[in-house]
Amino acid sequence: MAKTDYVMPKLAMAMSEGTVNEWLVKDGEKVVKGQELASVETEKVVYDLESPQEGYFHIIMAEGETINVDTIIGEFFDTKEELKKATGATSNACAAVEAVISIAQENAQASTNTQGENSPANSRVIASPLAKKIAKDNHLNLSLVTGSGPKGRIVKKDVLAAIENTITTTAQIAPLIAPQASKIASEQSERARIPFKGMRKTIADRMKQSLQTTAQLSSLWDSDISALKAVRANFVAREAQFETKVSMNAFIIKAMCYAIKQVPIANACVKGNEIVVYNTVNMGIAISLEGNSEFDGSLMVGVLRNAESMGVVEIDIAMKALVSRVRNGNATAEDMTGSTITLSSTAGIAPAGTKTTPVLNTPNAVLIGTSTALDKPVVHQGEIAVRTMMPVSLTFDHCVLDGEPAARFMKALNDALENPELMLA
Amino acid sequence: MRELTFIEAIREAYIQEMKLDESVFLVGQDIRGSIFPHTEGLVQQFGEDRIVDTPLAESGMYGLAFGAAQEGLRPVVDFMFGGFTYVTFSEVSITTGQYHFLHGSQQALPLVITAAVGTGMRLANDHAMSVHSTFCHHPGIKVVMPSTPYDAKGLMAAAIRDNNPVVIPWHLGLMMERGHVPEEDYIIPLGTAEVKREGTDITVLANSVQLKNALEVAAKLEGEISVEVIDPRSFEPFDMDTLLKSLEKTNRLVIVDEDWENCGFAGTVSARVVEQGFDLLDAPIIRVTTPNMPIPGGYMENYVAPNPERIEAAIREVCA
Repeated sequence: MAKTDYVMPKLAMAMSEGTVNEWLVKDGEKVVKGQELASVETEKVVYDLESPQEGYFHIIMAEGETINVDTIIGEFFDTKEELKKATGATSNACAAVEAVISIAQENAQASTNTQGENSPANSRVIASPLAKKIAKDNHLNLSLVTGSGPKGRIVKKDVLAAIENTITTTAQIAPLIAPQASKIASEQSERARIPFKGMRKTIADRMKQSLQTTAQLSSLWDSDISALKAVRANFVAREAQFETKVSMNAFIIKAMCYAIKQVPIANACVKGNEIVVYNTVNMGIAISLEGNSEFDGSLMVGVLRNAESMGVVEIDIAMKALVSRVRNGNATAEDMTGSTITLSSTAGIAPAGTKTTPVLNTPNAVLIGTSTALDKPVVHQGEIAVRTMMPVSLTFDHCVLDGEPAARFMKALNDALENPELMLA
Repeated sequence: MRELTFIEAIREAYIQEMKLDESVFLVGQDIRGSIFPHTEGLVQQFGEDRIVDTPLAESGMYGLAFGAAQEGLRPVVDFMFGGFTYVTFSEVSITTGQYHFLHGSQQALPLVITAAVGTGMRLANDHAMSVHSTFCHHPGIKVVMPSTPYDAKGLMAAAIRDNNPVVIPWHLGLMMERGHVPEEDYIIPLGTAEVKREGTDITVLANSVQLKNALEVAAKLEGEISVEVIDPRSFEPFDMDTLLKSLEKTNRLVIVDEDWENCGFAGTVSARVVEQGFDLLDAPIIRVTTPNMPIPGGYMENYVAPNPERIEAAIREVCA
């Protein structure tokens, strides 16, 4: 058969579209099965697509374009002639040169292919027919999945778990813990090798991109939350009535909404060549995720939509539900996209009084970082008193807003945190 | 709701069809004396011309029925026990099944072969064996088997009205089972399976007495394994669609059939599922059948036929 279409695969249950960041092969190049074809980005992950077959690959989708899953992004041809016929002939001179190159490439690739077949990854995998089909549909390499069925057979639930947990990267299922340092290795004993792939790579790329494409800086201060603590205690005392033990974060989000009302530019995103300022507050909340081992924990930003229209109880309930969905892998696209401002808190984990300067969650222009409060002596109403001081930081993109509005935003936020009655405004 | 026993339901189908169509008649050995109660009182109601007893000579008995069907009557021939169909096997299988085909599709052969089958009474080989797989092996014969009184009446009526030869064995173990049977006439179309219990984890295909066993196991496993139980009702033609639809949901299959394992109905269904539904399977198919050995008499029978324990073990193995 001459031609096989290649479509944007569905890499996760919730994936609806993907972007070809970079083609890792040239148009018309002969590719072998398993060869990395393209780097594809989805909402939450960057993933290298592996070729499902051998053939001459014709690129259809341009780099950087975002398209729906199952849209054709390329084509495989069995022979060079079929490829040429379909994609338009080149000049004879070029063809001659190409032919020479292609023979050389074929020879090189043939040897790679042979090696590939001898590698353990290609040894027989025991999987149920259904498991094989689901894996094939999701471009999952079954040799890296552990089977839970009789005699280690890979069954449906193993494949679904692999797809859900790892967003289908081959690397993440690969052993995270490398074998102990080899005998001839140096004195350093290795604990683990963690590949920059999948979620880790996404986080790394996004952090670097944030630091390299924005002019971000952080300002730090302490807010006296003694009064707010008392207010919160009143809510906590009514836990049964509200059906939730309202957290400090709910009040911080409410205070941020108050401050945004005073200084709207803080609730903005960079979109292409424009700054978009929003009425709606979609609160991005940094959520840590446990991994399967000590070394593959990760970070996601869940989005609490329309926080500006909620009371603290409502915020608290919605936030807790969101965090639980994200941690349990049940998050929807709505839960994971469209934040307009971000809150990142290390309260309860970091030592009291820690100042943090989190990296901006682009394209958001502002991020508020809070940490564990500390009781310490301060001058309060003209006297030295022990007050509960919460470290707060504002990280902002100077491309979007300048120091003056940033300072006003800090002031407004501090006002609300220190005088919680302002949240009624 | 009106209830009848399984055997009364068959009798009601005979009466109903003989009243509807004068060409329907019964032929067998001592059916006037009603060895089994499905012919009880029929000779008084319909007379000796329509309730015909023959000597103990199966070839002659069947020859009578065959000839009558050739001439346009609709005989129901009762072999008493399924094992005795083998006495005249060339006629019941080859000649019967291929008759319509060999006559250029010009001549139908509307007859019904019925007999008691099955283990449970400790009657041993000829009196306890199943025969449906053997008939399924031969082209041109429809083979059905009821598992409830309702199905017994509906399938028997459908078999009598069908213009093809239809084999309809009935299981001795169900004879006195009671169940709802409507008074009015109805048929169950040949070739339609029925989901007798819905479930999500595994499909169990079971017929006749084994359906009863499968339902018992399904009820026992409720809360642990959700078992969908399907009654094929018709072996040939077989309702593959209902089975595949179920497997789309459960991805696992156990086939329970009291017939011998070799070249049996369970094996045929298993092969068809692999051919038509390979990608639906998350585990191998397991058959629970009678091993290929003569069916012993007495208590030894318990160790041969499928039973709830074996069905449960198979379900657990497939769901492991």
